[in-house]
Amino acid sequence: MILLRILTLIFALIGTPLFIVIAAATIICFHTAGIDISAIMIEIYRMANAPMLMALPLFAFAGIILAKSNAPRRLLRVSNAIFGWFPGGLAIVSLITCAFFTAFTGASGITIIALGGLLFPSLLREKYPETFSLGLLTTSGSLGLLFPPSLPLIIYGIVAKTSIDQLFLAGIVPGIFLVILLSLFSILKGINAKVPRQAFSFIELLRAIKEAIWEIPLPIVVLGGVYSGYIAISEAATITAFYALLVEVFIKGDVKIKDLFKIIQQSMILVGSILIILGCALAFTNYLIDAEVPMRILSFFKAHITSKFLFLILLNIFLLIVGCMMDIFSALTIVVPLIVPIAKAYGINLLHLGIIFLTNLEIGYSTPPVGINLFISSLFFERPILKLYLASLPFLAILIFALIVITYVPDLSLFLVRVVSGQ
Amino acid sequence: MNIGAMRKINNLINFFEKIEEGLLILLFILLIFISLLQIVLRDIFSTGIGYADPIIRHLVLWIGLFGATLATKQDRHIHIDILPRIVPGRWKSFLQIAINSFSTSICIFLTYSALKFIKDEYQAKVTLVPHIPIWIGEVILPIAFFIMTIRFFTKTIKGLVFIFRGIPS
Repeated sequence: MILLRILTLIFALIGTPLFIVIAAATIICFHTAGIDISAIMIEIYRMANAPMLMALPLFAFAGIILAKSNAPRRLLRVSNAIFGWFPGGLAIVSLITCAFFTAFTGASGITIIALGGLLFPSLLREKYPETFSLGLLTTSGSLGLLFPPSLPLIIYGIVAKTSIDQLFLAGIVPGIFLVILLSLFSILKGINAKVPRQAFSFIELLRAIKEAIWEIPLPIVVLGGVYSGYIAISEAATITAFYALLVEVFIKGDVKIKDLFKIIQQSMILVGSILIILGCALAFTNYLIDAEVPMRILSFFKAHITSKFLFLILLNIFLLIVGCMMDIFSALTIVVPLIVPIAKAYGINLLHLGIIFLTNLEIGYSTPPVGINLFISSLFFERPILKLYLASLPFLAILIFALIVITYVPDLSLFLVRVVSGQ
Repeated sequence: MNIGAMRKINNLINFFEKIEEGLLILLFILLIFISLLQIVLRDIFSTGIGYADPIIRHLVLWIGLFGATLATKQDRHIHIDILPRIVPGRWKSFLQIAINSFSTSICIFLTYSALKFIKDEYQAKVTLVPHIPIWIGEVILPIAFFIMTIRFFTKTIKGLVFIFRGIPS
């Protein structure tokens, strides 16, 4: 049995689909515990009992159809008209537009591919250093994970059984905090590199807004609808998907019906690859919870780590390693159920825990040597991977500073939740 | 095997793949349509389709599983890709064969588990919505895992053929 477990681990490392690895681990555990194998399917089928799950295919579809249309170009123009006159303006524009798209597509590499091709040449043309531009776009590929309706936030909510409405609120201030920190760095770089500044033009702003008038209401549909209490998140997902379809196919005509089928397929492959991991992970972690594994880890922790402060440091280090080794969805589905009972025992709010989790995993995306964004950028911008390691370092330093603040100032995450829920 | 038989098999595979892709698209359109209809009925006419909720949740299950079978076909499953990036080309084909044969065997287990699950559910005589037994909503589980078994198996065989004959698949 030990041999089989080691074998499974080896298969994970050589690149076997993770759902197969998780299923294999589950089969071994069930067999050892003498549980009938059909119990695995009962667990996988429990996916069909999670009412929030429908938000996943709908938001994913909305995100991909937006990315495939000319919406990135139009939204870029708007944010450029608003922020372009700042020192470091275009860099800030990149951060904000990337964050917007990542919120919808969930850092699946789509942001770098949809926006990188537009932004990278423009940044170089405006005389931003190449290393800076590469680092900026690479880290921006996962910026925005904290903003609604990010798919990882939804998955965390389902797995940790917390309110997704409140999670969406909890992510907003920390998300803005990250964008502001990176913007300050960009301003500094913009001044240092003597990037020419453009003048603010009110007419250009009006023109840009007019062009993007159909896309601008999207965040309002998601946030406004949900927090006015008028619609639930799953309904917001339906409306967003339908609205994006209507605008990009019928009003703007950016997406042809023929391409629409490809987009549906592409987004559902993304959703399928997430859901199958979620299903298998449900079976696996439920076994671990039945076997009281979290309780055993907890008693070990309780014996050695007395302070919440120390626990959070260890949690961050652990999650940073997980974040650069594993993809965000498998990390969430497997690690969250194990950590939740422990974090609860240390008195950590589960909404705050979610934000800590996602910030860590977001950083992990761009952490050398194996952060996935580094590889996507390396392939897409045709630059050696070592150059991207170097390029990402200053950004990582800033993000880790932000992580420490987010971890030790819970109010940054919880303040807005309290205000809206009126406590 | 003669060429005619092979072509027939290929045609049959193409036919099934078209059905699979078409169904996925149809189910997604249904998902948008039913959930949208539900919002309109609820918010404007203050009624609703009584059984929309379980139907929508099973649609998501079907969509997710068809997405997963297509991800198998296009090698788009989420995996850790540290090693595949550093091993040289020749070794990669061996790794792929190991991965695909391992995946095949795990999928056989999962298909068996799903069949057993469906058999129990069939005997339980529970309904999903009136007149439709629950197993109809669940039958996608063995189907999807069976398709994945076949796909991983085909990939294993193609990999072996490639190594022994040097014919690219």
